[in-house]
Amino acid sequence: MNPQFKKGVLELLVLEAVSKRDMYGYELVEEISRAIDVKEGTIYPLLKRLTNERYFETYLRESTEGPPRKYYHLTASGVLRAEELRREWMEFQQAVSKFLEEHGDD
Amino acid sequence: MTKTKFLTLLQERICMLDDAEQKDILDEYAQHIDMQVESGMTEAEAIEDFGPMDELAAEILSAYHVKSVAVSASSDLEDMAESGKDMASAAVSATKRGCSKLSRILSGAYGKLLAWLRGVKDAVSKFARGLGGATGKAAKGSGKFLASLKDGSLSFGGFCVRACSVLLRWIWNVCVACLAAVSFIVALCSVFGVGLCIILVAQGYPFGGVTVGLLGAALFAGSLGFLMAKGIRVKKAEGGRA
Repeated sequence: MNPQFKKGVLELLVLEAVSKRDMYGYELVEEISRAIDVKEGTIYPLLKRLTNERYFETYLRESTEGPPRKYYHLTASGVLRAEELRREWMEFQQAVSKFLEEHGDD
Repeated sequence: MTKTKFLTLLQERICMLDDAEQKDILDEYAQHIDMQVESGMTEAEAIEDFGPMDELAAEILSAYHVKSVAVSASSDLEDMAESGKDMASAAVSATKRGCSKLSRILSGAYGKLLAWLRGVKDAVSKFARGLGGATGKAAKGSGKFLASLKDGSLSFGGFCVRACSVLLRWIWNVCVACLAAVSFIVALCSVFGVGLCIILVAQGYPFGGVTVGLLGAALFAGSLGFLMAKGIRVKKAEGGRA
C-alpha cells in the first residue's frame, strides 16, 4: 500500500483504537498492523509523540506474564482530536470517491 | 542483530533525553521484542520490523522537537529564524560595543579639551604671574586694583609691569565673565524654550525636533557657562596667591 496514505491515517487509527479501552503498546501495534501493514517502528514513536502532546496518558499495570506493561489511555483532548481527525478523514474520503466516480469508469 | 545490540545502538541515539525518558523508550522496545519472540519470531526478525535505525531514531526524537537529520520539512524555516535571531543579537551587541567605544572616545576627547583649556589658562596665568612676580609678591585680597597698586614698589617700571599684569587679569576676567553670563542667559532661554516646546508637542504640534535642538543648546550653553565661571575662580584664587 502507498506509504503516504498510511502515514496520514496512522494517527487517526491509533487514537480510535484506544478510544474504546486502554491498551498497552504491543497489543496496540498488533491491532494496527492487522488493519494496515506498517512497520512497528513507526508506531512507537507516534505513541510517544501523542503522549507528549497530551492526547494520551500512560500508566504501568502489573502483568502476570512478565514485566509491568505500559497502558495508553485517551485523554479528553485526545477524544476531541480523534473526532476531528475522523471528520477530516470522512470529508477527504468522500471528496476522493466523488472525484473518482466522475473521472473513473466512463 | 541481537536485542542487546539494538538497544545499545538505540540508546546512543537518544542519549540526550532525560534518563527516565530513555529508560521508558528502551523498556518499551525491549518488551516488544520479547513478546514477538514469545509468539514465534526471532530477535533479528523483530528488530528488522522496526526499520532502519536512522529513521527510527529520527521519528522518536521528533516527538521532543529535537532537531534531527531525517525530519526535514520545517527545519529550514527554523534555521532561517535562528540565524535571523543570531544576526539581530550580534547587531545589538556590536551596537552596544560601538556605543561604549564612542562614549569612551568622546569622554577622552572632552577630557583632552578640558586639559587643553586648562593649559591655556595656566599659560596665561603663568605669563601674568611672571609679569607680576617680577615686582615682588605685592597684590593681596581678591585682586583689588587700587590695593595692588598701593602695595607695589614705587618704581615706574615695576608699576607699569604690575599694572599690565593686573590689567591682563581683569581683561581675562571680564571676557570670561561676559561669556559666562551670555552662556547662562542662552541656557536659561533654551530651557524655557524646551518647556514651551514640550507643551506644544503634547498638544500635537510637530515641535519634536525643535525641542531636542533647544535641549542641546541648553546643555551646551550651560556647560560653557560653567567652564567660564570656573575660569574666573581659578584666576581670582591665583591672583590672591600671587
